[in-house]
Amino acid sequence: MWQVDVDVLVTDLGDELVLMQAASSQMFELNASGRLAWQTLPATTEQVRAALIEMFDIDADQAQADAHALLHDLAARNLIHHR
Amino acid sequence: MIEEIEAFTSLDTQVSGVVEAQTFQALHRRWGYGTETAPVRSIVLSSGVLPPVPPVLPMNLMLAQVPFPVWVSGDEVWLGEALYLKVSGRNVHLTLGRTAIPEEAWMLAFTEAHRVGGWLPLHAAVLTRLGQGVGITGVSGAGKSTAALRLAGAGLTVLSEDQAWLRPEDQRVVGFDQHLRAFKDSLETFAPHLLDSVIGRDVHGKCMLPLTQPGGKATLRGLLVLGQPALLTTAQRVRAIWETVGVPLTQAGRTASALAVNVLLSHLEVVGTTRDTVAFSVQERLGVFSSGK
Repeated sequence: MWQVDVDVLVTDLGDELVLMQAASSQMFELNASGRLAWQTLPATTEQVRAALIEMFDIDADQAQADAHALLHDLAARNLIHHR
Repeated sequence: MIEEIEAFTSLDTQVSGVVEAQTFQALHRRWGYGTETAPVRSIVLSSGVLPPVPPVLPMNLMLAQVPFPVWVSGDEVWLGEALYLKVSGRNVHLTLGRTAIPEEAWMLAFTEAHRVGGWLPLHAAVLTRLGQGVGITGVSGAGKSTAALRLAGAGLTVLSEDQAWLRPEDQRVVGFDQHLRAFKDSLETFAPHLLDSVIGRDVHGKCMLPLTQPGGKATLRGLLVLGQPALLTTAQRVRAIWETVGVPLTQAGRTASALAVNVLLSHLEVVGTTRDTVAFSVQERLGVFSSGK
């Protein structure tokens, strides 16, 4: 299960999200698909994949690749954690 | 000597409790600026033994150029052995320990307490005219104070030099600075007629001018960010606002501030400016050039 780090400050711009890591004040922008994935959390990779398919009408393989890449990118920046 | 203190109002908060009279007076002088309406939250002070610090590494903040350990756990903050803050809903309880409390520790504690109530600390010079205000922000040394000085020289009111509080819902801004500070050469260049108003020097040798309006209020119409391009993307506006208001310590403060920033984004004009254009931009937004037409 992927979960949001408690130290992340979220600003929702409607079509994208701006995330700030409170400890470092580093900021990150998520596009529409990233925003959707973020709003799905806490969730498994499979649940994020399903949300991407439903919202963006993409095929299962593409959604799996997108969800995997996005979640691991977010985790590498300590914005989410896998528990 | 410990005394039961009378309550005072700080923004929308009633501050009360039992502390030394001298401490109370200092807090009242520094933080006793309320809004127009009755208090809706509380900060309660008491003296006593601080709870044990949590088993996490402290942040070491520089207070008065000395490293100061700060522990944070959820909605609790330990400022060294001097001060303990606990959030309860939108209210805050401060416990004073037995060691001296640096001014900066009080600043952190009250700042967090007001963040919890949804206020944003605006590290900006705020200029006002006819009840309307424009903020000037930017990194340290960007030229906020000089711009404020120039605009004071041009007849605008300086609500704050660097410390004001903003309520995002209605963009009400309250000034908290006691003085505008400027180096003497800036004063001679931009507002020589104010030289007679200097009442002393601060620790950096800057002239102190009683030009600000502690407790003064206005409605903030815009925020100008020194050193940024005129047109900012929405993400750049978000970044500018967070850099202006700083990062809260507690979970409650972060939740309230994130909500406040979202509200502010939909109401407030945030644009970039330069040292050369800032004075004109402020005066334009405050209607200086359209008056009398």
